[in-house]
Amino acid sequence: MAPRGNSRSRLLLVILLVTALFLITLDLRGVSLLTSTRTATQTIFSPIQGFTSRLFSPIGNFFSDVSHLGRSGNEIETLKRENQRLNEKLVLQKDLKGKLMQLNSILKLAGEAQYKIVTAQVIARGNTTSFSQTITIDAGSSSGITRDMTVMSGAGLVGAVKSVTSNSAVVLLMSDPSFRIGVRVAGSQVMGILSGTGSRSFELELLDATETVKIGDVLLARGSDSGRPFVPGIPVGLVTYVDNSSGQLTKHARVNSYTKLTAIGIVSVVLAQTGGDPKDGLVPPKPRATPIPTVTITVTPTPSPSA
Amino acid sequence: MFTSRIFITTGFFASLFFIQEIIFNQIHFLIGGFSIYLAIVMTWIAMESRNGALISGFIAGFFLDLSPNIASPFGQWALVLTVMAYLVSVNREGLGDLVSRPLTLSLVVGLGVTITLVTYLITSAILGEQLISFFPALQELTGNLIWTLILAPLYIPIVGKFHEFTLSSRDI
Repeated sequence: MAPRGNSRSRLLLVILLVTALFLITLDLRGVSLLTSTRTATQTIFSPIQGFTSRLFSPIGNFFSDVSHLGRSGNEIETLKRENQRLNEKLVLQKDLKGKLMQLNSILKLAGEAQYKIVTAQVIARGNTTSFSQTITIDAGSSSGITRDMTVMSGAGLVGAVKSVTSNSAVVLLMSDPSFRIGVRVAGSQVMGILSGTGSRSFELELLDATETVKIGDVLLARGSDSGRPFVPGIPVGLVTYVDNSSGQLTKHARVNSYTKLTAIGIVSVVLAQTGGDPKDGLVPPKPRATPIPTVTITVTPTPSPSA
Repeated sequence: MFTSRIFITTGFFASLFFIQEIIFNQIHFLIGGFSIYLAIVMTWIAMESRNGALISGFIAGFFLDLSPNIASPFGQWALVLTVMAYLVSVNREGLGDLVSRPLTLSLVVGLGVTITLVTYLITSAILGEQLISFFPALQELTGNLIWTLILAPLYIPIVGKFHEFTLSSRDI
């Protein structure tokens, strides 16, 4: 009985594995049916994700609300609830203020570069099971967004549009391991390729090994044909480490992005570039060192009673 | 596995996938992410018979392949979870009844989820996809394992009850 059951299981295993491999082959051959199923899922999920995003944005509220269940309704409790409501308002206002600041900086950067943009809110992030770094935004083809458009924040580059539905779009973040962008160093115009590593730092590979790059150099996007997927001049990151070890064909450096990719709420998609290449015009100003006040202590001797 | 159970399992996994995509993807977990979907699927597989586990693994993988955030080829998750379902169902037979031993079940689930993610990375490498760097991957795997173990007392009893309910409909 057992061997028969085992052989049935093995047959089932083989059938399922062959089906899975068949699906993979179809997908790799570019059968549009499979791609459209993912797009359909995105179309269904994005409106609900938009709603839950608003719900979960100030996540602390949610958990604190749960902790309030089952309390009695005496005066202290009423006051506590009132206090809680005010706190929630404050958290919500902080959240809104944060978003407003992000929006302001985006508009400033887009204005300087003369980009025609569509602003969108981040409604979901790529899940942990995929290891891929993506975000979903609440604007899609109905707002003029198409595949391979540049996505930016107020600080600089965020990524590029990977797929679009009518009311949402999936953005491949620049931290994704498959992300590559041609960059140039502001000032010296040295060119290189920046790659995502899945973490907060990025790898820069210079195209010419004889060129030099130093810590603190600003990297700007070199731009693509007709501005897609990348518009030229957009700030990408700052060089934080240069690998000067000899015996390498190309020179490597580590870069930190201007945009904090784990804390983006508002992004904008560049629809068109109305002005020309801004060259080095978008280089962020260097942070000014805040003067440290000098504290001077003067010791005044107190006259002793014996004197 | 009878058709009625396949339908129930499919509906259960579909709802779970929905919850994962809509709610859990919005939450930033400390250390690394947590996939409630993988944790519950692994618990379900550990409770199933071998054939049931295989079908459940394939269905669960198929739903995961539907995720718009995934860049891997369609069918990769179905392949990975079918293989994992087979491995878990074969090895769990030696462990006896796991439902009455929640601690062992938690460890099996935690280990199962981690091995599943590692297998996914390996298959991604075989299929020629760009891989995440070592340390972020390690952080993600560690975070996932920790959260899977911490939250096990919450989801394992619920999955156990629901699994029992589906068994009462009919078995293989």
